[in-house]
Amino acid sequence: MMAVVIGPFEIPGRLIYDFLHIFILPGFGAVLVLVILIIWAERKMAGLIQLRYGPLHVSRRFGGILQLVADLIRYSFQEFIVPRNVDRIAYLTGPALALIFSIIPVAFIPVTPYVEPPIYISSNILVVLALLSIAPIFIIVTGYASDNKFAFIGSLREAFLMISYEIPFIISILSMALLYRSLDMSGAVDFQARYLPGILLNPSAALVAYIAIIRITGRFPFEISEAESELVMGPYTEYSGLMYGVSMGIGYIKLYIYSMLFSIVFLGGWLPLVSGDPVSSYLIGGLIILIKTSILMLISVFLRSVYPRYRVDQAIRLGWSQIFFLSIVSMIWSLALSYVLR
Amino acid sequence: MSSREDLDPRIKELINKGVDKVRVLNVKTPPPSRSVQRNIDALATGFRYLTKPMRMTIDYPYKDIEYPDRYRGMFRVDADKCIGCSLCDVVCPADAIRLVLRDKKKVPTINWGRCIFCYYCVDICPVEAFETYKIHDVAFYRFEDMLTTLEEFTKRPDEYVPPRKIVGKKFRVVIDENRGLRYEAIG
Amino acid sequence: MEVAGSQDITQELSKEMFRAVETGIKEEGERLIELQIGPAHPGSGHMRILAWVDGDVVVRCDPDIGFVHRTIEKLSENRAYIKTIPLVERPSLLDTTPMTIGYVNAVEKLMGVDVPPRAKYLRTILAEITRIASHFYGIGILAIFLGHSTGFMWAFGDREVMIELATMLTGARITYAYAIPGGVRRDMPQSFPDAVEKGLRYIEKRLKDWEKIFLNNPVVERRLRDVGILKPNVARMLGVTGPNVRASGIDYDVRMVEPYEAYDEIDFMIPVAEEGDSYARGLIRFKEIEQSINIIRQAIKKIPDGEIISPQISRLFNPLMKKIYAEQRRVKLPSLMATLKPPKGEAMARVEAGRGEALFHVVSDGSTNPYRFRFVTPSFRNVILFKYLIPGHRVADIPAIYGSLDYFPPEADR
Repeated sequence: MMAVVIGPFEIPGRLIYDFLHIFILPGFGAVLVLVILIIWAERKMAGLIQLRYGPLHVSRRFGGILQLVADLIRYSFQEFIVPRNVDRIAYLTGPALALIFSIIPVAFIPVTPYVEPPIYISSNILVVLALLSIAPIFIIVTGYASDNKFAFIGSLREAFLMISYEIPFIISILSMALLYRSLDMSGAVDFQARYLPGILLNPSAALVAYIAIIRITGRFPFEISEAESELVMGPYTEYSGLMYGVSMGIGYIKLYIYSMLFSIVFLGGWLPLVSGDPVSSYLIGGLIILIKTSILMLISVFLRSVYPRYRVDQAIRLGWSQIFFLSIVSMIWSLALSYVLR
Repeated sequence: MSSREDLDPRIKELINKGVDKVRVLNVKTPPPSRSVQRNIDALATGFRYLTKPMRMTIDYPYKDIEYPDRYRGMFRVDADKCIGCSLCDVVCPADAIRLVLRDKKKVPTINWGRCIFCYYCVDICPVEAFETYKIHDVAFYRFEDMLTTLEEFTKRPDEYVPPRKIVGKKFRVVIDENRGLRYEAIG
Repeated sequence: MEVAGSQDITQELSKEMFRAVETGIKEEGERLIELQIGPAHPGSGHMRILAWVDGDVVVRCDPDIGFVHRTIEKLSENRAYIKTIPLVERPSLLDTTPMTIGYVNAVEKLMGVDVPPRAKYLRTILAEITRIASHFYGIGILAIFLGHSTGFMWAFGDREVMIELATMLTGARITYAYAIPGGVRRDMPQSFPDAVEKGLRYIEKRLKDWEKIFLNNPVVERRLRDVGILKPNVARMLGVTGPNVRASGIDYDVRMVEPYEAYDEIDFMIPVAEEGDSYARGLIRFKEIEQSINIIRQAIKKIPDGEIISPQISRLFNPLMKKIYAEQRRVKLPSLMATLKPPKGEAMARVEAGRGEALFHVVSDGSTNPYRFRFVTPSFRNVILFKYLIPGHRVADIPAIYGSLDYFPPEADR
């Protein structure tokens, strides 16, 4: 339970904190900076492993960090062509709504034990899981609305895989909530402060959650719905201009949110911070969470250089046979552990 | 010798004649074994290359490669040596060289857009009138600039092609046992 | 071996290869989608693959080739014999040297010219260097079609070492035009054997890392094992060649059956596998790279000294050409080469290119241009496998099978 220092009735402090939380840290500002850095890191790591330079030319002295900024500027100025036979409303709003529903959970996630997040519900985890499950529906709609067979096949693959991997993910997170005896993220961190981080308490749940994260955000080896050598770009084939930039960014924004959820539930969130005043605990706690999130994101994008992609039926079979089984094992393990740690 | 039931009679004859170097290396695809170990191996190999990079590419155009001396680049004709036998015109596979009249003598000019740099003309010239260089990465502003006039073809190529804005430092390619290609600075 | 007939053979093959995909639906409708994996697609190359798909299972597949047809055979009818040598190496741009060797062998048989032994060894060395480069290209394309970008970049990086070696020997990076009727054009420089040894050692070291990250990668194995199995009797009936057929258990290699150049004096093996799936085809290419390394080492040790151009041609040199040949070992072409007139007749030559067996047939009627030049490339023979291997597999197996066959569209279209 949170030691609430700024409650809902101290208006100026509340507004300032809400603004900072949503727009700077861990909201839009952090998302933008982190996504730019992580995509640069992905391309640079891939370049180093593959015996070449990676992005270098845009800002030579800093190793090409601003390459993504140049890409975004280029996408903004490119002509956005809408094909004639598409379903206009679904085509234009699909990626945008998928992006919105991927980024909304940031308002629910706390970064410090002393201040409530902008929207505080005592069953945080459940609400975040529910919101994150809506985003794939819009991706499926996008692929169906573009009048293209490859996009259609891509959205079908996304539909199959969404069902097979969201269920084990939800079961593993709920098994941790069962172990922590609360559906509140700050309660989860308090429990981990008393015993051990979640990844050591229940390793199979952590493994299931991590593999499900790699699938849901479309990282290799599960980059199946946007497989480049089979379907040109999956559901986003017919997009150009700024919407193309948006559709590339959706995967990384989802990776950010899922990694943040993983680091709070399994890696201890804002630990080793335990005490302090609201201002410094917000800054330090937020920074610690960002560091853990970015380490997870770096590991996830490193896999691009090592693995090819699975076939759809192999991924679905893996999801239902081994990952689902492991998630049931993790549920039983947490039941046993919560009885022992009474 | 695995599948030998119905061989072609010509192959049977060759085998009887003693061409017995049909030495076959039977390759067995390895059985799929423990996959956790293989995953860790693959990840460790990727990580090893991350920490010890072996770049094989070069940062062109700030660095440039100096090829070996026999590299086939652009060339020029020495109009005083040329005897006008027009063998270069006859042998060019791409019809790139044409002969024009100059002072009652026929001298070659070249269309760089068509040249495939096979050096048949350089090799067939009986008086060795062509002088070769290693210049190869040029760009022309107009298509018509690629057809050289006679005055141009008698000069060095870098006197009439558009100049380069960024001239890089020259490096030489050295084959290395550990890194594949290593680049050594010249001068 | 009976000559393949037409209707009964294909019906027999169809029954054997089409597994349980008789849905009775022949046209696009509610269940069947026609996918045109067309020329402007990242996974198709210069061809179109038409696939009729029921759900995720391919029911019928047709390759649509001809996008890069450049009429090489017709062009050669209007050119002198020596001008066709650069033309013949352009279709198969990856292993250019076996194609020139084949054509030059055919012309030499027509003319009755002998090649000195040192020239044979030099041609063999360059042919094997090109073979390693071509196999790396095939492996790289297989990797990128599966999504393994590291395999793609590594393959092209390792291929670059071989290309630099070829630059040291001939002066050009990929299109060498090195062999001429009677010998070769340049001799190898003094630093060449050292550089070759270093390059080969580098490739041997890298093959170990390749195993760890590509061949033993569990995801790669899941994608490639038991996919696109080619049985030996089907391979014989369809007439396919190259590493594809050596991965199915048939041990046929032109370098063994009808040795050309210096192959009958070099001791090497040909790798043959039994399974016939895509993983075996990929593995055979890696083993062939090892064998090529072996051949190059032996050739460099055994190469004899001597002439690099036949005496029948070098006696036509004028004094300046003889001086250049003696000092720089650079072969100048006598003027006869531009207007070669072989006697009437026809000649055939076969070579083992990187992708299989290539056949060259030259018919001469006594003039400076050939009357007819026909050449059959290995990719053209392998294209029929698209029709018979893919049905029954899934959509995601189309790039896997395509990459493992190592089909190169410009070589098939000529």
